[in-house]
Amino acid sequence: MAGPGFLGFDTLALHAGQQADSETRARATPIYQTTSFVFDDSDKASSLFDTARAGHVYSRISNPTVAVLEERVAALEGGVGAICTASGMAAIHLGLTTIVGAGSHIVASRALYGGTHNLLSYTLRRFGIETTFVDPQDPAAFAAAIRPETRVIFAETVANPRCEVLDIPKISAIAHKAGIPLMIDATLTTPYLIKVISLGADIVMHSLTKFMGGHGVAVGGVLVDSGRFDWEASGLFPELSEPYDGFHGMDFVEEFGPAAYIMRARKEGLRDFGASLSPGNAFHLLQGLETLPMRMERHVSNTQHIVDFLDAHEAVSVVHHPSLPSHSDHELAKELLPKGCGAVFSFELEGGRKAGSVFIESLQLFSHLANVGDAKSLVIHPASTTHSRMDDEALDAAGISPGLVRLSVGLESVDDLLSDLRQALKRAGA
Amino acid sequence: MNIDLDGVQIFVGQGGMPWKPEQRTLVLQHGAGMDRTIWVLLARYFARHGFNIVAADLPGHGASGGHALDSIEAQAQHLWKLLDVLQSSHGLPKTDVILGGHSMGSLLVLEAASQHSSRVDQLVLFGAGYPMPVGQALLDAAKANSQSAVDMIAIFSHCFGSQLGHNRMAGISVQNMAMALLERAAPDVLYTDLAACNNYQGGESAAKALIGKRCSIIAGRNDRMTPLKAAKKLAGLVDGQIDVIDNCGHMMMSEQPEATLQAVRRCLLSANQAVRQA
Repeated sequence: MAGPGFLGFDTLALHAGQQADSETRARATPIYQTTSFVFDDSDKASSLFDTARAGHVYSRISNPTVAVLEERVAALEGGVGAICTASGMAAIHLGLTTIVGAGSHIVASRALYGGTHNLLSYTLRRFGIETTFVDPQDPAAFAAAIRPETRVIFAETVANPRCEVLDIPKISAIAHKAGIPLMIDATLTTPYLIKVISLGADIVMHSLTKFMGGHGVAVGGVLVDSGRFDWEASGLFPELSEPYDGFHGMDFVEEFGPAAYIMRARKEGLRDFGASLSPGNAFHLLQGLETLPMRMERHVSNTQHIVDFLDAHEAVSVVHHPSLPSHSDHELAKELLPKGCGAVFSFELEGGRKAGSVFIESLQLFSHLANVGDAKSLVIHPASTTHSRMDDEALDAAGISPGLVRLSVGLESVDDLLSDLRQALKRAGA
Repeated sequence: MNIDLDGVQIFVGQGGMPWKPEQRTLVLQHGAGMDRTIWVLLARYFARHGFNIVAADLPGHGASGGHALDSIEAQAQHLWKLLDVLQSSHGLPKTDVILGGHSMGSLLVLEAASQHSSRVDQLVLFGAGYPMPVGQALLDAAKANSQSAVDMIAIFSHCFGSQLGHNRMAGISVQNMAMALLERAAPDVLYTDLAACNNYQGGESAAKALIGKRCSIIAGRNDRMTPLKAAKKLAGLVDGQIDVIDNCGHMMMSEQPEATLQAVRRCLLSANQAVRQA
């Protein structure tokens, strides 16, 4: 029996959400590869449908393997509950559409993952949901963009590729003053580096595909409810604080209190949009999550070595990482992210677009692909891949210089990573 | 449903179902610093199985207005006042009621039953014990409205297994839920409640007034807030039966929802049988 005190982060990463089942006593979380669950009797069946008893009905709504992962992430983040989704984008979609609809407005950081930017700029707009993008380093801009129909502020903890750090306490205060929640994408930092709920975030999401899973073998996402936002007092969210005809007239605030948001997201969003996580993927992601603390420590230490190396290299014009005093958010990062700012960052080569391309092709250990947060080190040159259709002027508007290279630093021996970078920089003639 | 009680708005949960005149009434009273949402599954279940549910937020708690009441006796008087209004003006049948209460709520319904024993059918006490002393460290932290009071309750109210998790309600962290609920309490509410528990001395006299009333206690085997020993002492006092739930601390409704449901069913079913046999 553990003594008094909360269980530690490393313990929760290994154990939260799972106890050995009474039938098999399996130590690892079993994969419940089943679509549905047998009802004991018709009374149990109707009670489960009425949310009068707890249990699983159909794996689109909940599944025992997936539920372990959900509870584990909720525990690590300090939230009241979580829902796993088929991808990080599905988590963002579920998180937003639970509280926005046609006529709603979102205020978002303009430094967002490209997929999120597409969702907000184009796709949600087709459904009558507008977004105003603002500078993440300018809290006043968030406040100024809020309208009467604004329902949420959305931003990332640390943006990609320039690593702008969000002042979560300040932006949270702005959101709460307007009676709306702050939703944070914490994918690049994970709860190991920053627990955003404790800083004032109300809703958190991750692409589990990245550092949380950590091994590049399964796509998944998660949405976490802090349970701290007062939906009733806000008065702006009838979806949560008034009876819902789509679920037996349920008033989610009245019934579930702090868990109103996450329960509505499951009862409506998973049911109707259906972007649920498969139990197989949940199992793979759980294996990764077990070692999150150790992996993040190594990701951060390897990154620091590489940041220092690149910052001192004559072929590199600038390194965008908050650990450097030259970064505009250096002081904020020291305050909010004392364990480190993650392992995804960018730097700029003196030789521009061509040097960037040669550099990438010369790397041997870093894998050239469109992902981040793998155990293996990854690299991409936006100007020749994800943003290759843009001319230099358009790239500049997007904050991406022709010679900008993005790294996702993995867990290899750091000397090998440094050697690889050294030889590639030499070949690039930069 | 919002009820005006002497100018104070009192929120009453009904388990999502309207009351019916032919049904029995089950009152579910929450504990210190909490609100009616701790009963969500039990309230919804029994509301669909022949019971009128009255799961009210005490004054100053949850969605109710007003200020927390500073004694168990005052809380019990408030409950009867509320039931009077519900029975006279809001369609709650004027019949005997089953009183259920958790932790501080168990003392409340015990006292309430003694105040008007003729109006009570039976008692179901969850996480109960008498006396219910509260440690000075917790009282001090609560008086200072310190987060450490919430932390202490969250830690000591959940058994080790519940702190690990594996909740039957998919994706919900029961410990974090309890913390979020306690953090919502207005300043001084938690202290007022805990002090009321600590100061209550009416258990023996209440028990004497309950002779002949069926009283059941549902206890968590690993409860560190109201340990099994205290629950047994209370059971002796009220001549009640104890149903012990394994792998369970003080928050049985969320820690072991299915076992708790079955325990309550046993209490209510046995009472029905007793009534029929009589």
